[in-house]
Amino acid sequence: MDKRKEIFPHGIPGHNLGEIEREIPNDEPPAWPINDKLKVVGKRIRRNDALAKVTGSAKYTSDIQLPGMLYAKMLRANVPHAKILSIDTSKAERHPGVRAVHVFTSDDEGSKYQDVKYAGQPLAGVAADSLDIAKEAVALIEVEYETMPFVIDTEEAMKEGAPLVYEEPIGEQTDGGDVGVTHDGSEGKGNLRGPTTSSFLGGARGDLDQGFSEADVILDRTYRTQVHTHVPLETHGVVIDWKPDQMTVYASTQSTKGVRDGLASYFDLPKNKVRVICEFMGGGFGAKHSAGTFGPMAAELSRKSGRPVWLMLDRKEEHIAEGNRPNSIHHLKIGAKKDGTLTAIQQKSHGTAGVALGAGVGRIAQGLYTCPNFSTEQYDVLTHAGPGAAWRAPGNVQGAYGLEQAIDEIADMLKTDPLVLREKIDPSEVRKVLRQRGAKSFGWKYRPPGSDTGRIKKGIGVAQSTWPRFVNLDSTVEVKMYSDGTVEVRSGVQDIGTGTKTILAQVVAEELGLKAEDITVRIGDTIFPDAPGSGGSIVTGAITPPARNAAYLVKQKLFNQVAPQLETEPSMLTVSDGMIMHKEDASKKISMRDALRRMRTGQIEASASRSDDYGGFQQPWGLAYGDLGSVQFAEVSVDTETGFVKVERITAAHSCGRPLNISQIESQVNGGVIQGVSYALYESRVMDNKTGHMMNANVDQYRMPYAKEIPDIDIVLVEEYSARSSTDAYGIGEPANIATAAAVANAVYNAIGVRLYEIPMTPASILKALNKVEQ
Amino acid sequence: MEESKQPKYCKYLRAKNPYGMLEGGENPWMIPFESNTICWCIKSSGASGPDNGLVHPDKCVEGRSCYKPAFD
Repeated sequence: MDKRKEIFPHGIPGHNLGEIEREIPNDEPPAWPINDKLKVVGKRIRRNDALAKVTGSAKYTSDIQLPGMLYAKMLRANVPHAKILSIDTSKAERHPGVRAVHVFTSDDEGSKYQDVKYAGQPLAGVAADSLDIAKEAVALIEVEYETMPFVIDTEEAMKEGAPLVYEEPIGEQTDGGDVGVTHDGSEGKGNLRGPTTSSFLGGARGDLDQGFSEADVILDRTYRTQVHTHVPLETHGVVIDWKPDQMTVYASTQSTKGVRDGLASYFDLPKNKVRVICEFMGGGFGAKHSAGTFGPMAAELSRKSGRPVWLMLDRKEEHIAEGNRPNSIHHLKIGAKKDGTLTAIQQKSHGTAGVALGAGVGRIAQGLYTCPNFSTEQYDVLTHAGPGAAWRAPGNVQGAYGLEQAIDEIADMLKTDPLVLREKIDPSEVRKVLRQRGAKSFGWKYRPPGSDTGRIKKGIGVAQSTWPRFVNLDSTVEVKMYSDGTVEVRSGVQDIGTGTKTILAQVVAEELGLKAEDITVRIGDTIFPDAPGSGGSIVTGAITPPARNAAYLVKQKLFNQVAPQLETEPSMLTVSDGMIMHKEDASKKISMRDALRRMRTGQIEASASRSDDYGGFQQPWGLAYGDLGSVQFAEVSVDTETGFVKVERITAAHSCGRPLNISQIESQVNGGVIQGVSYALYESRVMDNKTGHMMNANVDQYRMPYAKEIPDIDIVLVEEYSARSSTDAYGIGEPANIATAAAVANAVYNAIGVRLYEIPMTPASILKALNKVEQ
Repeated sequence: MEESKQPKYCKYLRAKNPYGMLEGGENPWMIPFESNTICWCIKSSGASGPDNGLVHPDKCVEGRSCYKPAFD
């Protein structure tokens, strides 16, 4: 492809802003200046769906009503481990109002039914004229179980002789990867799988023994985190209408493409026979990338009944079966010299994602600080509990909770301000600026742990995070301009509530010299071009460059038609404030609306897909250069008589490349911080080890913060230009959530002078730490 | 054309980690595997396959009883 050279802004305004030359494809637009010279991008533009949301006219999946629609409910296993001998649906089928019944069966050569491996595993479903009738009918289904021993507790599951989740060995490997012999003596026949010893950042480095021998201080600690469920306001679910020519799926999903492709595979359908629509979405946080079990069930019931089927999960189902953040038992041994230089980091972790994998503690100990000697061993522990799922910065939140407390402890051992220690060991330029500006805004003035007096003790803490810049190249956008002056953006990408619709309008409006409200954005539908799922903070960096590039291409088409009318060349035209004008002759101009009205065709359009980053990627699959850093500061009050902790305020200093919409970024950070506070102090899945059931599968006993428990949140946003794409923008979903719990934990320690090594930090655990109740 | 040395993953395998989703059989680009990768089977809609075994790229390959190739 032909390329040209362009000069881009590069660096951090107010710190090291300069310019850099990049080679870019000829069909992509010139560099934008920094945000203060732009009209729409980087501004506090109101969400283009705000009115629909606040007036209730926005239709979420659970609001979908179709003619003849049935309501479905699933039957779930009430034991945690069993073989199923029979499932009798005859009474349910005869129940008045029932229109279809479906039982999940296995087409494998063994049993007719899959084994039950956790309480809550879906077994069957009913579609009926009403939800109440469906519930009644589900209760009439009779299941005969042959129950088997089970294990819920993570450390019990690790022991030799524990009931097995998988009878076949789970540790065997075939691809030459990094899974070694497990350390429980089971050689892969137990519940322990691992260790994973590498990530895309590489594997172990240096010489740990040498590193520890060089250390003046060595910290050796274990940090524990709980299982944390997602609790989106809108539960998982679908409405499916399977007609002979097409299956139409209304889904609460983070990936329209993922649901389409999953259902097409399940039913051996061509992809173009499955259409997935998600116009509005009520939160996901990582757990809504697939059709789940409810998708195939609703589709089967729709096929059997010939009618649309509504199947939304209730809150209990959401807690027990649709994902969670795995727990962690996270061991860190860290050596440091007197000047703070880290000499060695040895990490070992165990965690359970129930019957699933994915319970590691991420890459944060591997990549956040300079340390020449590093190794990690991360183990999955299989238990008879509901499966884990991606959860806002998978693994790295657990990892940061351990690492960032360990760094705090080393600062304590060295009698150093923890912020000063981080300045010494953190190589990131952007986090240097985040620390400086964040500390100033917070008013950071370090005081020794436990130095506050009185019953209510105040403390301050800081923690950091890193998150990579991921780019998904399967990201396409189409821009259309119509002869009536309207402009439309189309893509399959979904807006999970973060404001994707609005930033697409802003980017296209900026390129076309229009206002954001002039742009209609149609997304969340697989009839439009494919785009990535909303995960990994990937969407903004993946979808906004092709949106701008498509707008640029369609603008060039319009210029080609307008130029003869203005007796000039297309290259001499530009746009601003709804006008097309000559760059040098102010008398030659035409309004965009008039230009479109005079087109030879009723519409012009262009589409663009995400191109490689300018200057290439760190790794070709889409790992971009750079970092999405954060530094968060917390102030807490601890009542030493009752044990109650109040997070008074958080200063969250963040960077995400070129900010596109300040208000929406602040919303994302607010959400991440609130979830982090809740993780640190409140939320925890409680399992009954004797029955295998979750005991707090609701939003009452599964404690979440009330409005008054949410801290004041001060956001410091740092622009950082790296000149890697036509928008130079990235997401912020993950980074907003990673550091909060660690910052709060460090602040609690600073307040009371006693460190808790486990979250949630409840009143009971605070009082235990203070020796005010019996251990 | 030289035949790929990558394992032939089952068409029903799905795996997701922070940088994307792997679709078994079609485009298995998401290697190396990581400690935060979630795997599931489209056919059984869960972390255990139709044969009750663990779903994982190591496991969902030719030779497993429930394995289905991407192209018959």
